[in-house]
Amino acid sequence: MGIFTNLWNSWATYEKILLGVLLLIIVLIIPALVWLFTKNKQLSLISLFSILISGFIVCITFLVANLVFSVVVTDIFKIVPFITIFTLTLSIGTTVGYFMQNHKRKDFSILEIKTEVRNDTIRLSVSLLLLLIAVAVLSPSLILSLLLALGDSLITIWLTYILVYKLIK
Amino acid sequence: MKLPRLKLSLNIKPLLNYILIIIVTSLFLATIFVALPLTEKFVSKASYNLTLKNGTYWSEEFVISATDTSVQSLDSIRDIFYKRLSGFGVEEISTSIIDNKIHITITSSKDKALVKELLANRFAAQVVTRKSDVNFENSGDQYAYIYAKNYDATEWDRSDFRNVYITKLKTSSGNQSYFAIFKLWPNKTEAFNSFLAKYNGQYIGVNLDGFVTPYLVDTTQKIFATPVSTEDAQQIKVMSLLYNSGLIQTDCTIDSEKEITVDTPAIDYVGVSIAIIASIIILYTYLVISKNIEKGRALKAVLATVLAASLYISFLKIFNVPIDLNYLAIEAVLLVLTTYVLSENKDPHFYIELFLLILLSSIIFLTSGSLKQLAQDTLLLAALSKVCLIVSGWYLNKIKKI
Repeated sequence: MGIFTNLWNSWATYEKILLGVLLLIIVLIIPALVWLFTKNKQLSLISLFSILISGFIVCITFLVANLVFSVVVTDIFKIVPFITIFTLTLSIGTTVGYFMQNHKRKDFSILEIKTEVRNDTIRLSVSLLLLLIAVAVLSPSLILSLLLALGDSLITIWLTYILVYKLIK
Repeated sequence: MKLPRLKLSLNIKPLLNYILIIIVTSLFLATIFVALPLTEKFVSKASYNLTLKNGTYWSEEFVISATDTSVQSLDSIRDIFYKRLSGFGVEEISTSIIDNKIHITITSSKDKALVKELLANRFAAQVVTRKSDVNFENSGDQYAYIYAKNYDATEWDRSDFRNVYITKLKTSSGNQSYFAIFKLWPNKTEAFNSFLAKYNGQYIGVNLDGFVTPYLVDTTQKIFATPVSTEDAQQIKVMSLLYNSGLIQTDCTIDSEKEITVDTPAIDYVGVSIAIIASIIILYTYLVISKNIEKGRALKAVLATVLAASLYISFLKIFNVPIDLNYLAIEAVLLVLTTYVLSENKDPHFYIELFLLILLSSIIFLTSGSLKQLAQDTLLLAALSKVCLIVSGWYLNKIKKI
């Protein structure tokens, strides 16, 4: 846990407050908006859980990288949570867009979301794999952070799909 | 006599369309050529180099001690230094309190001297009045008006002003020059005006860390503004941050500075560009073959991606905006991803755009340094991607009609 203690101690109080506000906005505002637009409790809960899971995965990744592989987590590693939450936001936005486009259709079934999320997740995974690996291989200074960002993003969007699969009935 | 009417059945619309398409295509090509790596090697008349931050980074640890070493005081000073440094755009800031001293480690591409000014100055502004026993007209001591020891302190200090706004104002000679306008809290305006009225026509001053800027009181003037001794935009920014990032209540000094070696290996710009282009081609080929996207939509997306990336890189090159190649590579990846999602999805894009706007704006306003810069650039690129998708759709439509 030394990595988190060191990180916490290297932040000024003002910085800690700002970070707290940022996390609150991400965790609360996006699920709240999902609920506001879709009025669907399941989708809102899925977005909330997936954001929380992404945060948890990023923390675990840093911990494992530091403890097991003795990786020194530097400033460039900030891109890991950034790319992860960016990818997740694209995924949530796509799902909400599909729901809003189709939910008024007479033959619409909420189960369609499962197929749509699966297809979107496959396409997003292929794009992420191609782009991040291509850049990572040619950027020695970025290789570790990009591979961690790729891993975290893939785990997050696939866990979101599992949540969709399990929670939407 | 009536002249015979000459009838011309010339339809000029297709011709104008041709001309428009030719102009737009030339603009697209020009943008792409400017953005391509190594253009600078083939164009001698204009400079199309990317201004890189890589290589200009420096890193240093500053140890700062304060007279009041209470935890509250040190925490408050640490917060103020953080606000100053992040406001100036310093890329990496790490602070800690060890043995009652504030340790600040900075890695930045910003001017080192200016960054140091943000840590070396307390900037405790106080309104002062001239001591009656000091001769300010004495030719033997021409700098008597500068030193704070020649002035009496008043009860008016920085805490009585809600902020200090630095802007250009007209001087008595008619030129434009920078002034620091001290904006009072509304409940203190009357008392301050009464104070100034007592010194109407006389010189008072504003003491900043022992050095006084004289101010000739003129009660007909509605603002309290002191001249600023620089015209440099970066120094003005530093002064504004020093004035407005909080009040340091105790004296503090830089005890030591230690240089730290910066290890920022440059990435292969040409190689990464080729890799990204290859990824785009493979990605859309896969999507078309697997029937995940129609050919027309894929073409529109590829054109929009190339156009958005070219416009962005051309902008960076033409306006000499300093950029870190590591972050530029990440921005390119995020641009391709955003353009693909916005083009591929048949569902409303409003929700994706709104969520991205909230996420990126929050990061811009609530973080600092390189992460803030990355979020700013990504937001700009997402907007550019949206515009380029519309433009490429229009362009391909026009081409089809021809």
